[in-house]
Formats: sequence, structure tokens, C-alpha cells
Amino acid sequence: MHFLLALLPILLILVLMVIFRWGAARAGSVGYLSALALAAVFFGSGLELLAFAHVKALLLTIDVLLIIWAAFLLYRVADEAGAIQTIGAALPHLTADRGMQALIIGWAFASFLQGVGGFGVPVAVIAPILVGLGFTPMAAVVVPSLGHSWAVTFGSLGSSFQALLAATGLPADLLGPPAALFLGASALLVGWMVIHSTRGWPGFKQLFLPATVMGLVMGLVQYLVVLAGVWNIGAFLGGLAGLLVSFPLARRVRGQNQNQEKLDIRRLIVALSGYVVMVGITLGVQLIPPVRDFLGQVVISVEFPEMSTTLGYVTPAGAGRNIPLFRHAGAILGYASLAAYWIYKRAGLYRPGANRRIVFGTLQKVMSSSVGIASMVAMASIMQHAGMTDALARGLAEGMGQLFPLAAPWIGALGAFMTGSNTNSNVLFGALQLRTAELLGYSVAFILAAQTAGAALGSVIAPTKVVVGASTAGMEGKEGDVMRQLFVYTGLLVLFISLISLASVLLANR
Amino acid sequence: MKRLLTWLEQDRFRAYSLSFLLMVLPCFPLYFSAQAGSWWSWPLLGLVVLGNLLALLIR
Repeated sequence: MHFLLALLPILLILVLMVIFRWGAARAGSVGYLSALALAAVFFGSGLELLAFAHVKALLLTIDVLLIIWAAFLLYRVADEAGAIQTIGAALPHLTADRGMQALIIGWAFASFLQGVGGFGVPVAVIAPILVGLGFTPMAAVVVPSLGHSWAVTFGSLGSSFQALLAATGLPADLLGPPAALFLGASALLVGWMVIHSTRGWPGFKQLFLPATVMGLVMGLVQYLVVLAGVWNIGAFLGGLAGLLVSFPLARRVRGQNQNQEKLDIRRLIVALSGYVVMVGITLGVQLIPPVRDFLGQVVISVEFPEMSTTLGYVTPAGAGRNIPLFRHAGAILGYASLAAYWIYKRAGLYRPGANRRIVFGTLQKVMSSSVGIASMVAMASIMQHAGMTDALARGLAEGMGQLFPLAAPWIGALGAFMTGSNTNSNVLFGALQLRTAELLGYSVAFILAAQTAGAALGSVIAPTKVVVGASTAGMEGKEGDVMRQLFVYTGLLVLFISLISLASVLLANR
Repeated sequence: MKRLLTWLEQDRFRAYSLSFLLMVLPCFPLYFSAQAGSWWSWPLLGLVVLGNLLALLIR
């Protein structure tokens, strides 16, 4: 009964967005209102618990919105200077093939960005670039969303994997290799799906070889890096290796370049400088400890007391989401926007009135997605504190019994879908998966690998992440259409993890 | 109600901004009122609900 009640807000959002094609803001509000009512009436949540859940949601909302606002600002700064158009006109000189372009920018570059950036950055940065290159807005969102998914766990300097270690108390050398193996294998599928989503089956045959080579290189490099113990740069080096190997491969698949204009190298360098600066600043902040420490001095941190429902579900005391204000991914994108603005301004690329158009263009674009994110994050927070998310996971685990390895990645994906984050899913369900695996006598390492791989792949269909992509690609209000397309691909990816998880567990138990 | 719906349709940017502010701003005082166990939590929570209801009406 509680399982079905807990499922209701999620079902409502899915039905309204996917079937009735409601926008994220409206559907999110319905999800929020239903979760609030169910939490109060059926899950024993009092006023105090609901109030604190809202405050925690506010911190998470700020965390997400800082990135969206800054990513869109960077896009507007570059677009107003004509940089996106210049990059779009230059890429066909490397390869004019849409599928190959998608593999390079939407897969390898997105994975590289996931390695250094965080929540939603690859999609927010790449979706508008792909639109500028002439991709349909739908493909511009779907390609980077899928493309970076395999790199989420070991991306963002391994923050999601760190969360799994913290939630389970197990060592990295036990959990890292199987997780890298599962995600590396899924990288191959992701590449094939990227081709399918841009060029369909005809393109699949033509680009099968380069996609397979890139996938093997990225997956293998990430696996070896994790095996070597430096898992915090696994996705970063994997993505970088994919990018490096993609350039010679692109020369073999050049396609028909309709643009006969000579490439203006100086103009291209200036156009790219905004994004080069972004990568440089991100790496500088993440990898140079003195810079990291200096910028990390101001942290918004709020302490919460222990909370419990009348049904006995307890949320332990502790801090909510910590926001290192000047070291946040959104702040880094903000610095990059300022630096890019300065470069483009010095190069004389702005017409009169550009400042006003950049600021108002950004505000106009981000407002509806901000409403959608605020309501969905509040819904997820209420469900988490009321024990509704826990009821869902337990229901799945109990319902599957001996076939639990098949369910493990779906539980991870559910957590990521609810919270929009691989990290949060690992925190939520890491311990539950560990206990269930121990009770059923299954290999803990493989079950937890399935948890984090499912969460990484499932995070791309989280409504909050879909809103990020849709808003930066000009598809506000059509988030349901994006979700519908992503569902098929993500469902197949999580199913794949289910099967290899079952096979691995059975082999380990022999 | 009709005037409200017309306004929501005609000025979506302001409507979304108002909805967003209603969802977010009450959360700051909500933290302190919840800590103090004050009855103020009720109206503050009501404002957040109002923000969501407003978002529901914006087409």
C-alpha cells in the first residue's frame, strides 16, 4: 500500500509530462502538491519535518540553479559574440558527418566535461552548441544527455563514487573496478545510441567502427585509471582519451561539406577561447589545491536536527547540501563567462546593446525552468524525509527476492531519477543495497557497482536534468517529449546493467 | 480568476518570477520558525504551496 502511494507523485509527473506533454513547471507543481499531501496524510510527516524538508530542498535548488543560470549566461555571452556560429561553421571542416560530430562533441567532449564539471554542466554547455551546429533541438538535448551518462560516477572528480564509499564504509579498491567495468561496458552502448539518435540505422553501419574504437578507449582508460587507484580523475582521463582518438577517426569519416568557405583560423581560436577558458578555470580550481582551498573558504552550510515521522522513519541530524559559493560549478561557469566576455569584447565581437541582450536573454530563458526545478526538488526532498523514497526502494528489493541483482540498478536509477543526482542516489540507497546483498548472500561489490551504474545512467532522465537540457536548447515546455525519447535509450542501458549484474553475481557465487 | 489567467498567459516571465519567488523566499524564515516550533511555519508553508498553485495555472 505504502509502495503504491509513494509511487503516485512520480507516476503523476511521468504521465503528465510524457503522455499529456505538460511542461516541467506545471507537472512539477502537481508532483509537489501530491507528495506534500501524501506525506502529511499517509506517511506521518509533521509540520516541522515538512518545513525542514523544504529548507533542504532550497539548498539543493540553489545548488542546481547556480549551474543552469551560469551555463546559460556563458552560452549567451558566446552566442551574442557570434562564437557559436563560428564554431558551427568550422566543425564541418574536420567532419561534416552529423553522426561523427555528435560522437566528438556530444559524447567524448561531454564525457570530458563531466570529468571536470558537475551536475548538468555537459548538457547545459553542449546542447546550445549542437543547436548552433544545425542539430534539431531534440537531438541537441538527447545526444549530450546520453553521451555523458557513463562518465557520471567517476566524473566531477569522483564525487558520486566518494558518496558510495561514504555510505557503505567499503574500500575503493573493492568497489571501484566492478563499477568501472559496468560503466565502461555501457560506454560502448552509449556511443552506438548517440549514432542512432542522430543518424538512425543507416549511420549506425557507417560509424560503428569509430564509435566502437572510441568507446573501448574511453571505457578501458577509465577502468585502468580506477584500477590504479586514482578514481577521482577516471572519467576526466577517459573523456580526454576519447577526444584525442576521435580526431584521427574523424578524418576517415569526413562527410559532404556544403560550406566551401575558407576556414578563418584566428576567428575560430577567438570563438573557442570562451570554452577553453572554461576548461582551464575548471581544471585550475579542481586540481590546484591552494586555489581550491582559497575559493572554498566561503561555504553555505545549514545544520538540521534529527527528524522522524510518526511511522518511525528517521532522518539523521546533519548538514544539508553544502554550497562552496566561490568554488561551485556555477561560480566557475560564471568566471568563465566573465573571462569569455572580456576576450570577445577585446576582439570587437559585440554590437551595441549586447550587454542588455545577454542579461535579459538569460533571465527570460531560465525562469520557467527554475520554477520546474524548484518544485521537483521540493517534491524529492519531501518524499525522502517522509520515507516515501525508502518505501519505494524496499518494495522493489522485497518484490524481486532472488532476482535482486536484476533490480539493483533500477533502484539506483530510481534514486537518481528522484533526486537528479548519482551522488544522492548512492547516499540514499548505498546502505540498503549493501544490507540486501549481504542478506541474500550476493557479491557486495557487484551489487553496489550495479547501484552506482544504474544511478549514473538513470540520472539523465531525472526531470531536473531534462529541464536543464531543454531550457538551454530552446525546448522549454517540451520536456516531456525529451523524456519520452530518453526513456527508451536509458531503459535499455539500465536493462543492460541489470543483465551483466545478474551474470556477474551468478559467476561470483559459483 | 479570469483576469488572473489572462495575466498569467500574457506576462509569463513575471508570472514565473512571482511563482519562483513564492516557492523560494519563504524557505529562509521557514527554517527559523521550524526551529522555534512557531505557528508561523503554517502560513510560510502556505506561501510555498501558493507558488506551486500559481505555476500550475501558467500555460
